[in-house]
Amino acid sequence: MADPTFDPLQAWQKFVSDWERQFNEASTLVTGSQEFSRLMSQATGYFTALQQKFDEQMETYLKVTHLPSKSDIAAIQERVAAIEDKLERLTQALGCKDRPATSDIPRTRRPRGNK
Amino acid sequence: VTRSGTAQADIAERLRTEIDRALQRNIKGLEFLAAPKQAVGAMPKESVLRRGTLQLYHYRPVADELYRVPILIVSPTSNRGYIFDLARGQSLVEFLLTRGYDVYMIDWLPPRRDESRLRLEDYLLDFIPTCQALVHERSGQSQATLLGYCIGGTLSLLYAALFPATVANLVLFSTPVDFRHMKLFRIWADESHFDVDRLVDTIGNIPGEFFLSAFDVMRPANRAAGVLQLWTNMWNDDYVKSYRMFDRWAAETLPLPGEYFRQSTKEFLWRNSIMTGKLTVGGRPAVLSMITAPLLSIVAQHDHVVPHPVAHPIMELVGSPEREELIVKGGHVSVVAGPSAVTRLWPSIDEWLGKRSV
Repeated sequence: MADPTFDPLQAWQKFVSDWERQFNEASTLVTGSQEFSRLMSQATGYFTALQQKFDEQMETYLKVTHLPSKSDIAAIQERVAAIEDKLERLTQALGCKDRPATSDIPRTRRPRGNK
Repeated sequence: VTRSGTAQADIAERLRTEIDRALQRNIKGLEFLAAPKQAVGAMPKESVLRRGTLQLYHYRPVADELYRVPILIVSPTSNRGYIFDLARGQSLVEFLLTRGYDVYMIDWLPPRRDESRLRLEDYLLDFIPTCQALVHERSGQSQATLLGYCIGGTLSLLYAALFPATVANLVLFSTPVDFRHMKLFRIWADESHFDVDRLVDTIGNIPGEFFLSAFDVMRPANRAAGVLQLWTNMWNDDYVKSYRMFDRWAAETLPLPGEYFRQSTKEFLWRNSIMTGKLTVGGRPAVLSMITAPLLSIVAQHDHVVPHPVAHPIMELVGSPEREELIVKGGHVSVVAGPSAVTRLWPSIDEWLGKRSV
């Protein structure tokens, strides 16, 4: 006869968390090695080189097709950001900001029981 | 006979519940897939300053009497600050406001391309001091409690070492200082094969996906197990909402300014210079023994990113006469916003901080 105390949902949740722990532990053995780290660094190096090459070629292609490139958009973004910064500084300097919402609230609070 | 009958009735009842949940899972599973981004941020706030990657918020108070000392939250530079304010009932900010604190938060936005040259000096000698000055101006208080999480905690500590007179208290969550014990990160970023200079010189700002995939490699089963747990709990609206908020937060891992990443890798992971006391910021020594403010350091028992040996030396390095370490249940993220944080940790923080905020 089936065990009336058996809870399939709980068993499932236990299985998931046990699997998660074991898988993570096994993976740490691999990823925590110098060999893995060297491979990862190599992959990052390849990715960096690839990205650099791709960026250069894309820049040339966009220039030829008279389309704005990443650096053109970045230049515009920098100018917009400079305007935003200047506006923020002007607002601060002119004191245009609203009064802080806390300005009328007394700062006299003490912990409960110490009043 | 009666006991067996009751057991059968229990099984039948359980079966009915499970069938109902299975149906709910299918219906809600479809809703989940079609749903837009989960809304986050519960408490009304005002933007005090926005400058490039730097954003300072001031939360609207809800109490009619405030503690004298304001709180300045320093978010980690790698993640958005809304982890402190996910939703009503799951927001440390809401909790602090209802307990009568005046709360400000430094949130970081993705750095612009021209900000790839930002260094630790910009964070410690410009961004945080500027925010502290604005808090001073608005609150009339020359000192604030700094509340930092993860690398935001490390920045808070270093700021307190550089400007001790402006810090009333320090509350730190999962804050790394001894990077020798961040074993996986150290192996991956090993000086002998990780060419950080080439990486930064080539791509500038380091994309968030770079860090996200490092966390995935650290705990590769977490994401799949999370999805399985989500499916099991799909009938439960609160669980699903919570999952979606945390999932959105993790996915919004921020890019880091290239120079800041290069400097952090060399100073923290390679030289471990907070521990050796040799870190200088803009030519000034940033030595933790200069800190005298009362300090509360919170460490999560199952934190795989900042385990206890990485955070514990804070207790030995600072000069604070009053220092306390609190080891709590949970992991790196749930320490800030998990269920046990809400019911147990936050009230403990209030009890520690209240008497030091008058």
